[in-house]
Amino acid sequence: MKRLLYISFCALTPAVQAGTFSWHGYVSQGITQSIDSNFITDNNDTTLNLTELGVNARWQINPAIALVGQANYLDGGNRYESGGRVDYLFVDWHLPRLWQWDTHLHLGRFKNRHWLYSATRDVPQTRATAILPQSVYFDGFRDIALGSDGILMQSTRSDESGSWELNWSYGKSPLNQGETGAFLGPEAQGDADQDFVHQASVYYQPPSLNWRIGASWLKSDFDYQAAPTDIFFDGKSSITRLMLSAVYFTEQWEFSAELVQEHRTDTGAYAPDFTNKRVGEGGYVQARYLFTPKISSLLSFDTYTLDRDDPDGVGLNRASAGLIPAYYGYEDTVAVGIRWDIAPNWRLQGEHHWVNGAARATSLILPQSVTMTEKHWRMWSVQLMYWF
Amino acid sequence: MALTERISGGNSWLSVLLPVVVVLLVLYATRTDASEARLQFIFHPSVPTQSLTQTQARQIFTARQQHWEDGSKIHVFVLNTDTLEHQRFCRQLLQMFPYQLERIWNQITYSGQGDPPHIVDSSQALINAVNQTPGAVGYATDTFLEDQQDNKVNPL
Repeated sequence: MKRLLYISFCALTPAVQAGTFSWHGYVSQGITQSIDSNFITDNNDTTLNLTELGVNARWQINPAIALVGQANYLDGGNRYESGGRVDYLFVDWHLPRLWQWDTHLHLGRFKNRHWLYSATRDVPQTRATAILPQSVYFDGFRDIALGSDGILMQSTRSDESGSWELNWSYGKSPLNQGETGAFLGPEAQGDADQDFVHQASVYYQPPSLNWRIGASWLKSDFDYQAAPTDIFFDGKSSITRLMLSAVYFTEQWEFSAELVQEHRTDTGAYAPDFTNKRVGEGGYVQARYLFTPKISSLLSFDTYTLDRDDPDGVGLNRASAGLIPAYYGYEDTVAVGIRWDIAPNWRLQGEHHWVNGAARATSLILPQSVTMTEKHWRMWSVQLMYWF
Repeated sequence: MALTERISGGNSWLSVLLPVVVVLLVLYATRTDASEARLQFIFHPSVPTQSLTQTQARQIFTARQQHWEDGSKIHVFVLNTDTLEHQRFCRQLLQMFPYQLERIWNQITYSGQGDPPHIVDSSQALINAVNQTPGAVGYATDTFLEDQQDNKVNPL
């Protein structure tokens, strides 16, 4: 099938005939359910709302310049807005090597390369689980976290002392209505914009390649312009995120962990003089065991606290006059998974999550949304994927 | 008295099992397992270098280096990832686990940074591909190369 599509594309695109064009893709369909929460599905329904399709292409214009892009269609149930999107589209400029550093500039819509799984979190075969640890990879802000429109610089250096990777980026992402709602609630009628997102990260891997550690920093400001008939007011949010990442490899075990601290300041929006500052903290650890090269299992623990000064959510409950349950102030998740590579480029993957709390189930503040998630809830999925 | 009878006291099951074990041991001791052969890089004659350090090899086989020093495109050929030879290549020449390499390929490919290697079905196909593709690099066992007396591939 790929050959047929390739021939069709060759007929349409002169650049392909120069032999500098390549393309790849993935197709994935799953079955999924969230139980006692509307995080994925409503009414505890079991659905097929777990579809991920993508096609990417790379046109190498010359050894230093390439044009690359990826379009995809995603359906994750209620987790994020379903539909097609341009995942990335940028010019990859490989700068001349300087002091053994290889540097690439990505200009356009670039991928977030600052966290362990951020660059390919929408590519099913590159993820440990279909639903990533929500402390770090919060699906409510999925599109914002995937990448931005702007510039990214990545420098790498590898020698006998190990490998270093430095990333820096500056840009902004368009917010869809779902992400506006994730900030304020589904009743928000106005426009939310990301003013900018500024990120930097550093990673080191020793010559043995057995482990890799990194740290990242993010600063982003958001702006909300209320609609004339809005129940909200104009407002601003400022987020600073600090993260530590680590992964350790052995023949049959793989351990990974990331810790996150988010400083958030909100002004306006809920009331003209509203101001709220909080520091959210969390992280996950996960272990994968390879029974064989084709079959592996996974165990993970993920935890997040919306406000480190209110770890059990009592303050949140009190501040909302009892409308928001305390368990919306935290979320702990234990997940197990199993993966089977049934044939080259084919994989079947299943997982089950047990969740206590709802801090990441939705960040909606309005009480009528709050009742949709119980204190203890579950979710599971089985996903079949193919890539080429 | 036969050896099996001394050991088994005449039990017939052991008289059957023992020869099987002996045969298996002989086969194991005399096996010509391809996995024991030394692996080496192979290059198309057009490639400006005919040797790689481990750091260079990792850069090339993880698609982080995609052009040779003269600017020509690097074409990487490997065997199917589930073959014993490929897994030994990862451990011997790259000193990394096969699943690490496969993961890097996926990350590079689907985040727009490059292309994964070309995968071929057999050692012969790999040698042929390297031999016929300018800028190509791959790997083969020295025993296999010795059998290819008239191939045009330049071993390391």
